[in-house]
Amino acid sequence: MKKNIGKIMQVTVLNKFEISYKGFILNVDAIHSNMIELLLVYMLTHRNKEIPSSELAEALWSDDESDNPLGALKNLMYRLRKLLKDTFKEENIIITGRGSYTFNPAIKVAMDVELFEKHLKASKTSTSKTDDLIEALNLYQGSFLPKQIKYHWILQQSVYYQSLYNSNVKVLIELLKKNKYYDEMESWCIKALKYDSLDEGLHSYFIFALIKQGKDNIAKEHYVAIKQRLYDELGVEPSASLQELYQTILRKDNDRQLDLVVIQQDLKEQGIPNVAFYCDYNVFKEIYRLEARQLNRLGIAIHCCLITCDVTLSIPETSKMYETITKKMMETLKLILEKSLRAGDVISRYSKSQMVTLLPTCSYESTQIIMKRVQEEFAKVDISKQGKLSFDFKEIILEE
Amino acid sequence: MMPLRVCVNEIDEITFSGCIYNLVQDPIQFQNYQEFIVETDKFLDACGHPQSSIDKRSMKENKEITNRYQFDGKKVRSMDSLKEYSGSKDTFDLYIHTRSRGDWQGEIIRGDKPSEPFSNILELMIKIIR
Repeated sequence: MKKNIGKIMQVTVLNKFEISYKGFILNVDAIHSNMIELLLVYMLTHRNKEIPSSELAEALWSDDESDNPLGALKNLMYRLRKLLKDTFKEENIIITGRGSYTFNPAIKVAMDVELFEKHLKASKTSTSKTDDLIEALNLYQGSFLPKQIKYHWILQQSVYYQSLYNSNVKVLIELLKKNKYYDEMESWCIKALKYDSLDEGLHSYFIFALIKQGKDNIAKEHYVAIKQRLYDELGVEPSASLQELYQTILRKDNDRQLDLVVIQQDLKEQGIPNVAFYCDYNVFKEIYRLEARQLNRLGIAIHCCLITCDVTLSIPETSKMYETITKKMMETLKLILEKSLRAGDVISRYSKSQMVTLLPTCSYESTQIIMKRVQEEFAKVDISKQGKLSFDFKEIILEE
Repeated sequence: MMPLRVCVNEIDEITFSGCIYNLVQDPIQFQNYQEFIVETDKFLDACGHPQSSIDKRSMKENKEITNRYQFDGKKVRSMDSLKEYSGSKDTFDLYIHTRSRGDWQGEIIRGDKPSEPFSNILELMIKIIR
């Protein structure tokens, strides 16, 4: 595979292993062997010295996996040298000594981890500190050979570079916090948490950045999620600083609860209601549907009644008088219903001469009694001489 | 919603006996189909929910109103403890959601089987007899 021509051997070990040299690329797919990859990485990371065979054998077969590690190393080294020769068309990349091996010092090597450290060092001393810091942090693309983490020396390297990244990314985040660049702070936290998802300090910074950007809900959800993860994976409660941040969000919520009180003041009726609730038919429809939803959960009986006003005088329905009598009957009926029904019952005008009511937690017989009471009250007023009321009622059934 | 664990010890075309375990009072014994319906209905009246949509008929002049709605009764045993009871012939959980039209609507669950809804007592009895 030919890529870019370069005389320096570019080596990537963070997140993945890859070598780019003289326009050729060697990666794990081409190597096909974990042991060869491991051997090559060890040679590269210790390239400034002569490495005894015993040291290499110890690094590769530390758990006595091989009966003859030196023999196995010899074989592995043969395969590695052949692979390097075939890939980069160059001999003697690894020089064999007496019981030792050396990476050819004539080959210039640039490893990402070394570059990472170099920029970090510069960020402490140079004039363009932040640029160097960002440059370094951008080089960190993941942990040191994550697939080979079972080897002790790989784990050591991985922990070392991870902690180096963590401490320095926090330096940058602190700098962004100081300058109030909260969106950038959030981005860096997200990136850093990708590499170390259980670092409480990073979570604190992340939640802080979210709060400062007004993303309180995300901050709250994140706190709840990380609290659970810390407990599940480490068996610990969130740190005091993390809890303090959560309190900050809750205090903000209290302010909003005050708003809710204002809303409730706006919603509530003036005084204590002592008559049934009269509303527009569209509102009645919504209440009816809501009550029907409650049926199953509460197990209540609800009856719906239709009360019709009929003019008993022999006058045409289209006459003005008919209309006036109907209107007066309806006004009287409304007053009687408001007085006769409970405060939680609902009344609405269905048509010019009809009212509908909703009677929650009311049995068939109780509904009958209520309607009889309404009729008796109606009979007491003068308008009853010109008209009569008729009733129909049915309970609300929730259809399957 | 009041769960009832029905433990059936005898069942055929005429006999239907067993015990109904519930969360709020002593177990209810029944000896036949009629008793099962009457006693369960009485129990639900006493609980106050689901509320019956009609009053019980009575020859008494000042009959007692038994179907006042009450949201929840005082529980004397836990939901889990109900599961300990079983009948020698059949065991099922009965959930009566509503008592519309003077009838029962709800569901019956036997063990891990899917629940079987019913919209009246007759449907329930058919599901009980299978």
